[in-house]
Amino acid sequence: MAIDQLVEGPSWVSSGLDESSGLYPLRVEPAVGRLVERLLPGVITTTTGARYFGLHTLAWSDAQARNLQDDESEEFVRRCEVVVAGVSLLHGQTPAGHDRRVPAAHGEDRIPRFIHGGTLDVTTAASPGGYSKGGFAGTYAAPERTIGLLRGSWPPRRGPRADLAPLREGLGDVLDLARRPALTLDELAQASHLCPCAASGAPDGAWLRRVMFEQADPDVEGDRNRQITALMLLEALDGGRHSDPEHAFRLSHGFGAPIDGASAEATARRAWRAAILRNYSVSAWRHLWRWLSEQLSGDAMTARELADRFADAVGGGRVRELVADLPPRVDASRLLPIEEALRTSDEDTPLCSLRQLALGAQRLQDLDAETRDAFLGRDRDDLGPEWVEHQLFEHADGALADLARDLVDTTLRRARRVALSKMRLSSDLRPYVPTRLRDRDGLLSMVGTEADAEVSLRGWTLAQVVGALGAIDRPDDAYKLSALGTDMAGRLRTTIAAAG
Amino acid sequence: MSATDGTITTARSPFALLRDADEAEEVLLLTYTASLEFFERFALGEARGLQAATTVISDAAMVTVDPLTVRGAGVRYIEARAVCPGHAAFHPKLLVIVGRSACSIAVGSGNVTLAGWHGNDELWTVIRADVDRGPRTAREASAFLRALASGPIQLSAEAPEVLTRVATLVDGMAADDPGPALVSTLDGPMIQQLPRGPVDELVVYAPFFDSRLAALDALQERLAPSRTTVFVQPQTSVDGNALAAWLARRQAELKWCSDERYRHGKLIEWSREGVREALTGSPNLSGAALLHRLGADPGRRVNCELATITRIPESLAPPEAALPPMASRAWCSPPIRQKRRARGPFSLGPLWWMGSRFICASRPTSQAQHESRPTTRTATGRPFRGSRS
Repeated sequence: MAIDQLVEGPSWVSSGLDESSGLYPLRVEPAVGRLVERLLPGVITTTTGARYFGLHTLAWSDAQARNLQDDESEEFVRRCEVVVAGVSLLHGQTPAGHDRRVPAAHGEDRIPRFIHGGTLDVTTAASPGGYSKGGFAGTYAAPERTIGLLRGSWPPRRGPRADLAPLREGLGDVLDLARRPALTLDELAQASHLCPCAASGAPDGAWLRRVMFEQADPDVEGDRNRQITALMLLEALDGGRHSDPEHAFRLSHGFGAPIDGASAEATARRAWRAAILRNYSVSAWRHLWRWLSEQLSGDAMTARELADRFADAVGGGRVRELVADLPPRVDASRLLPIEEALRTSDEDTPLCSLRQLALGAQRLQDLDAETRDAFLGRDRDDLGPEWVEHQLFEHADGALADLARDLVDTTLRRARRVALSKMRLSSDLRPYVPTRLRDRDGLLSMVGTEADAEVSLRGWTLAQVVGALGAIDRPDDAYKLSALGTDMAGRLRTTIAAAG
Repeated sequence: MSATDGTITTARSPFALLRDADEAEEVLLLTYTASLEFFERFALGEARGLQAATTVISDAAMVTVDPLTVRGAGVRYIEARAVCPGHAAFHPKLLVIVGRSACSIAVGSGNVTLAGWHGNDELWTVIRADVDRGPRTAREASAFLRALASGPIQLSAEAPEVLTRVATLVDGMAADDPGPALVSTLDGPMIQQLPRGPVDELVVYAPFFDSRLAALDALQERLAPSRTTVFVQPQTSVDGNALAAWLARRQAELKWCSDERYRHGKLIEWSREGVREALTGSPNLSGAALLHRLGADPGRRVNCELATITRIPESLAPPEAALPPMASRAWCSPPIRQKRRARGPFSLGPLWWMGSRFICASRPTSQAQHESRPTTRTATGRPFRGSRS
C-alpha cells in the first residue's frame, strides 16, 4: 500500500494521562487483608448493622416469591431500608431512647428531609438519590452470600441458610409497611420492635446469632473461623470495660503464650496472631509512605533528595544499634506487646516506623512455623518482614541513614510497580494511572498526601454486630461482655471444642 | 540543509506508531531515560506482535529497572546502553520501525517512559518511506545509525551490530523526495547546522537551559533575529535571574505557557521573508546540546543529540498562558537541578564469551567493585528469595 504522507509533523503530541489518587499505593495490605478475610468471612468494615442481614434476607426472598422484576425488587428492598431508618429515627427520639447502643440505621440522617406534615414519604425517600445513592443492600450482598443467607448474582435470591419463619416473626411487619407510599410518624413510632436496637430480643436476632456464629457448618472453614473469631472477641472483652474492642482483641490474641495444638481452633488462633503482628509492619509502611508523600507534596525533588531527607530524619545512628535498642520481645514464655507500645509512642514517624519494621523482622525468630508462615503471607518479594530482616542484616554495620536511603529507593520502585500493574489503556490509547506520585524528568512530586489509616482487622465491626445481638453491652460508650455474651461464649467454646 | 516544503500533518506518538505498524523486522528505540517496566508492560508487546527484533538503547545512567517486573531484557529484546565521552548525556529520542518494504522513523523529544510517551507534551516528527517513495531524511537516518555504531560513544556489545542491521534495512527504502534535514552532534555542532541570520523572528522553548545561557547567546549571534520570544513554563529549569537579565539585554520577550501538562518538547523556530522553519528533537537550550561536536574535544562535555530541521506552515510556539502566580514561578530560583550525579562505571550489559557470562562495564572497575556482597542469606542463615533494594 502506497504511503499517503511521507512526513508527519513536527507537531506537539500528547495523549495525556488519566490520573487518580489510587488506593493502597505500596500494596502491602493484602498480607493482612487475606488473613482477615479467611478468618472472618461475612463481616466487612461497612456491614455494621446486624439486623440488616436478616432484613435483606427476608426482603430479597419476599421479592423473589412475588416474582418482582429486577428494578421492582431493588426498589422494594430500598423501601424496607427506609422503613427501618424511619423507625430508628423515631425510636431514638423517644424519652427512653434505643434499647441498646448500636450504630445508627443506614441513611437515618437523611430521613428527616422526607418527612412532611408528620408523614414520611417512603416512595420518594426510597428512590435512587433519596435516603442514599442506591441503597445499602449492595454493600451487604457479598457478606450475605458468604454466610449463605442469599445466593445468585443480582438481584440476589434466597440462600440455603435463610430460615424465613423467625425472620417473618421478627421483621415481617417491615414488609407490610414498605408497601405503603407513606407512613405517619405515629405508625413509625409504634413499630419500634423493628428498630436495629431491638434485634437482640427478637426472633430474627436469635436466628442470626445461630446462623452466623453458633451453628457453624463443620464442613465450611469460613463458618468455623467466624465462630472461633467471635469467641476470641468475647474472650478479649471479658473481665471489664474496654474503650476499643479492636485494641482489646489485638492485646488479647496478638501476644502471650505459644498456641499449641492441631485443631481448627488452634490454627485460627495462630493465624489471628500472625495477622495482628503483621498489621504493625503494614501500618509502619503506610505511615512511612505517608511521611514521604508529605515531603513530596510540598516540593518536587529528586529521589536522591527525598532519600537524603529521610536519612536526615532518622538521625546518625547505626543499624545495629537500632536493632539492639529494641525492647525485649519475649519473656520466659510469652510474646510481649511491645509493638502496641511503639504504636502509641510519640516518636516521630520515620524512626518509629523503622523500629516497628525492625521489630516485625525480629518477630520471625519468635514464631512457630505455622504462625510464621501466615505472618509472612503469600507475596514475599519486598517490604515483607523477611525482606526487612535481610536489609537489616545487609546494613548491620552501616549507618541508619544509608538504610533509609535504600528504603526510599525500594518504596518508590514499589509504588511505581503497583501503579503500573494497575494501569490500563483506554480505547484512545490514553493510559489510566492510579497514583499520586508524579515523575517529571526525575523530579518527583505528589498530588496530595497518602492516607495511612491502619488496615482494619474488622474487630470493631464484629463488636457492633455481636453487640446488636446482645452479647456485648455498651455502658458509657465502653464495651463489656453481657450475661448473654458470657452464655454465648460458653456455648461457642463447647461447640468449637466438640468440633475439634 | 534541506527542508520539506510539503504540507505538515499532525504526528502521532511513538506508541500509536507501534500500534499502527503492519510488519517489521526491526524495532529500534534510542532514548535518554528508559523505564523498562513501562516499556515491557506497554510497548514490548506491540513490537513483538510485529515479529520484530526489538532493541532499546538508553543512557547507561538513566535506566530504571525493577528486577521484579523487568523480565524480558536480554531475552525478549536487546536492552543496550550507551555512555558518551565525558559522561555527557546520550540524549537522542528515535524510533525506527523497519521491514523489507517500508519503514517509519520518529524523531522527537519523548523518552521511553510513561511521561515521555503519554504524559508530557512532546514534539515528534515522523518520516515514512517504502521501496518506491521516501524522503531523503531516511538516508540521513541510516547514516546517523552507522555513525553511532562506529563513533566515540561506548555501547553495549550487541548495539553496533543492531544499528548497522537497522541502517541497512532503512537503506533499502527509496529516499528521493524532499524531507526534513536530520542533524546530530555526531555531524558537528547543532548551531552550525542552522542558517546564518539575520532572520525576522526567533521563538524558542525548552524545559532545560544551561546555567550561563550560552546556547541562547549563540542562537542570538547565529540567527541575528529582529524579534526573539522565549517561552517558559513554571516547571522550566532555568536560572531565572540570569534569564531576566538576558531578556533585558537582548530586548527579547518572555512568554509563559500553561503548566497544566509538562511541556518537554524542544523548539528552536525562526522565520525569514515568510518562510518558517524549526529545529525540533532532543536538544535542550544548552551548550552541551547545541554548541559542539561530539568527540571533537575529549575534554568537553557534549551530548549525543538528534533533531530535524523542517519547514513548517505555521508556528509551533506553545499556547500562551497568563502569568502564573509568584508561588508557582519556581524557575526564578536558581540553581538548576543537577541530576546526572552518577559517574559510573556503568553496566553495559551481559556478554557470553567462551561459555562464561561477563558483565561489561563502561570503564575498568576497582577490586572492591568486583567483589560480590553476600546477598542471598539472612541473618539467621535462611535463604532469601526476594530482591535487594
